[in-house]
Amino acid sequence: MPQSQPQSKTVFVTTGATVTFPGLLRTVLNQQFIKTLKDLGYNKLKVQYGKEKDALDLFQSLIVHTLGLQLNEVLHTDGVLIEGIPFSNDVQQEIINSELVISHSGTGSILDSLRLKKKLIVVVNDALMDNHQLEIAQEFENGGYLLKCDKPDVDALIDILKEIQTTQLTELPLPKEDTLKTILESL
Amino acid sequence: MSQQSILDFFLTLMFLITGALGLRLYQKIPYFHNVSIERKRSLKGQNLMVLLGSGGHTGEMFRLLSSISELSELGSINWCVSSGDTTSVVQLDNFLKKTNLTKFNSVIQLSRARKVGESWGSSIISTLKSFVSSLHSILSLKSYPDVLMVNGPGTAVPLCYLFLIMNVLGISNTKILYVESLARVNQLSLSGRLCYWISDRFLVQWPGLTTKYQRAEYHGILV
Repeated sequence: MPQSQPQSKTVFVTTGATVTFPGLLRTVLNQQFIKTLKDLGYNKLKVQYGKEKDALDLFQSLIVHTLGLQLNEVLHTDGVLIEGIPFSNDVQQEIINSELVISHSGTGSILDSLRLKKKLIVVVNDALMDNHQLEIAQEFENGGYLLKCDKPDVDALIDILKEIQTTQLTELPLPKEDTLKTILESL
Repeated sequence: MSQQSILDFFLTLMFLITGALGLRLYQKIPYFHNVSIERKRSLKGQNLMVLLGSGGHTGEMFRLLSSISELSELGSINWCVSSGDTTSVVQLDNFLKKTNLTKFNSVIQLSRARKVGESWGSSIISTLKSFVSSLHSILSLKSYPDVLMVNGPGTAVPLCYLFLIMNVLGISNTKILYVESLARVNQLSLSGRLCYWISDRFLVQWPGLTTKYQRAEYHGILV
């Protein structure tokens, strides 16, 4: 019999493909956070850090200086495999392969996860001025569709990570089939 | 004719033109009229123009379109893309392949209206440039769209006003469907506020917005 692969249980983190969110990278690439992942049974942390050069530099610096790993090795901390990608052309597949998504509060990322019926934590970027992201995160949390974390903070995110394990989230209703079609026909 | 009567003639002509233009504007600006929700015609053979904005706008637009059955019945779709926005073009290709709509591959390039973080002064200049560039691309179309569908990137403003002016002048008869981005919960975007008056239907995706804006319609989340 072929040896069965140990079941992968992945957390996918996306910081936004165009504008990166350094605070989110610092929060998840952290010993204490990764230890909590391990305790909760996750064994892979996949991070989409964004296309900007700064984002790659920050990712590598966190791997080396905060987690004390070597960049040319397989990145393992506490039995959790860490993988970083700048940008995925098929982010939906990344989400499908994951048990949990931790995302910035952009509508695109929120919809990607909720439409694929994945558990989602959004971390609000409190450094952004004129911040609609907090409003969106709040509305979605009010609907029971996701949990939000008001700022990129390790302790706060760990609490929410534990909370979401036992939280029953609501499925985001699909758009009504022919709303737009009926409107187009009226024009 | 005496000088006096020539002056009278031109004054009369001016009043007539002003009056006619005023009437025409009243007739053509959707804000002055009740929204009609009756079914008038099927999608079959209609020409649609869709604006693909940058960033999240494009993603939301494809989600909106995905909820419309029988898109393939349309006569044509003209996609407006900001110049240099290669991401939207890639997303468009993916969407057309996924939905078997590769026959709708007509893309119009528009120069970009306002970059994120650009100052007001330079915004005005780049908006004007965008307007002229849009005008040129639109006027070279074989036929004008029946419906223009936008969801709020900066480029939507010159494009919508261009069609309003062409409608007033009787060149086109294009209806405008505006769908505000899901990101707007309590306040319309600048594009939304500017296009509110001139859109035939104006949709928002959060109910709170309909109390501030009477013509805004809420039909749930559409993306």
